[in-house]
This record gives sequence, structure tokens and C-alpha cells, in this order.
Amino acid sequence: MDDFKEILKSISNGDKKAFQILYNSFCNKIYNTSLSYLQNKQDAEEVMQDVFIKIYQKAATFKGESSVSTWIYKITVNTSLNFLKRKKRFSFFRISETEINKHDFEHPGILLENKEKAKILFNAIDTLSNNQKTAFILSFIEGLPRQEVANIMEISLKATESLLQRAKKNLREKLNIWYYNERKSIMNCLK
Amino acid sequence: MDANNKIEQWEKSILDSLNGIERAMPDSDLYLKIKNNIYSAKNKTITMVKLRMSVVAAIILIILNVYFLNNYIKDNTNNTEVSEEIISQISLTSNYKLYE
Repeated sequence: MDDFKEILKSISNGDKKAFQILYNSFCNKIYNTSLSYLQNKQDAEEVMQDVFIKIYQKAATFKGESSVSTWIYKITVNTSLNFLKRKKRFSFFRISETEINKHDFEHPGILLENKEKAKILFNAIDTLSNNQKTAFILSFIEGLPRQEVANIMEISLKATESLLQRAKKNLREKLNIWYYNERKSIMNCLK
Repeated sequence: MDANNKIEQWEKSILDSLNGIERAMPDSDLYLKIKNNIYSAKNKTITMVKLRMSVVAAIILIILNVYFLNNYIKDNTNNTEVSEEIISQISLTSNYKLYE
């Protein structure tokens, strides 16, 4: 943990090697988190670039109140949510190609036999509120401990757990609707 | 009851589809892109020292301009006063009733 604090200090002093070490340690975490939010490779890479630029610019201001990992996750979550907000604002004027692709999003890390089911799940995750989405992504996709999720979201452990419960309940409801709609469309096709 | 169970099982299988998920890898040349972005951004930023120096230079320019403009205006007003005096001295006749 302290190693990363030292690395951040070196980055703020313009050490390029330290920046590469930090990149190698966190690139996968940042990329996967933003990919879960944006459900699009190009957008996730764009967010990843923004996150690393922010890390570089803010390295000197890191106070060490939280771990470096928590700090980086916080930046990633905020940048991803801001990107989504910006995209939503512009989607009023045009439906972008990525918006269409989003509904067919296949996470590259999902096991082959789960691909179709995960596609449905990611669609449902996309409909959750920002807080529920964040709690769900960090806990169940990133596999972070509840306490770290609470630290990243700056809420209590209890609040995190209740957010997760509500997220799961909402997901079940969405999946229920999806299940009945699918059945209906199959029945209509058979008629 | 059976139908409900079926739906519940299906929902569970959907929620469990994330089990065994592996981390996706970003593009390998993304690091270079980010590095280039950082350094091009660094070139574009103005340091505080440069900013302060340019503010000081602007203030000096404004003060000099005000000073010279002030002097110019003062000189001009003095000149007009002097020229009026000269004209009144030069003028030979103050009484135009020549044949009285």
C-alpha cells in the first residue's frame, strides 16, 4: 500500500518509470470497471485515458486519507458516471452507434457458456440507478470487499449492503419483465 | 408454483452468469497513447510562474501607457494655452476702428 503512495509521490515529481509501474498495476482494474459501466470497448478506453491523465495531474494532491487503490477506483467511478451523463445528454440529438451496440454487449471476460445470459444481465444492470449500479459493479463484477466499496462510495457499510439488496431486487424485477416479454414474443411467433 | 420456481431458477442462472468472470485486457498500445496525451497536455499548460510574469508585464504596460498618455494630454493643454497667449501678443491691432 505504502509502495503505491511512494509511486504517486514519484509521479508528481515527473518520474515516468513510476507512472508505468502504476499503469501496469491498475490498468486492468480501471479498464474493467469502466467497461462494466459503459458496456463499450472504445468508450472504456477513452475513460481509461481520462482516468490516467487525472491520476497524473492529481498525484501531488493525494493526501493519503484512503488507500491508493480506493482513490483510483473513486476517480474511475466518477469519470465513468460523468461520461455516461455526457453521453446521455448528447443522445438526445442523435442515437450513436455505440448506444445501439450497447444492447448487444458481450463482456470479453465472461465464460463462453454464460455469454448469452450475461448479455441479459448487463442490459438489466444498465437500468439501475447510479448508486445501485456502482455498488453492484464493484461488489459482484470487480469482487471488492464490502468495506472497500463503502470507502469508494463514501457511505457506511450498512448503506452499501442495503444498496446491494435493492440492486438485486430491482434486477430480479427487470429480469422477470424480460422473461415474460420473451415468452410473449415466442408465443406470438408460434401463432 | 412450478412456473414460479422455473422463473426463480432462470433469474438465479442469469445472476450467476458473472461467476468465473475474467478480467478483460485493454489495447496494448493504450499506454503509449496515454503517455503521449499526458505530455502533449503538459506542453499546453501554462505554469504559474509564466502566468504571474505575464500578468506583471501587462500591468507594467498599462502603467506606462497611462503615464505617457497623461503627459501627452498635459503637454497638449500647455501648448494650447501658450499658443493662445502668443496669438494675443502677435495680434497688432486690437482696435479695428481705424478711421476715427
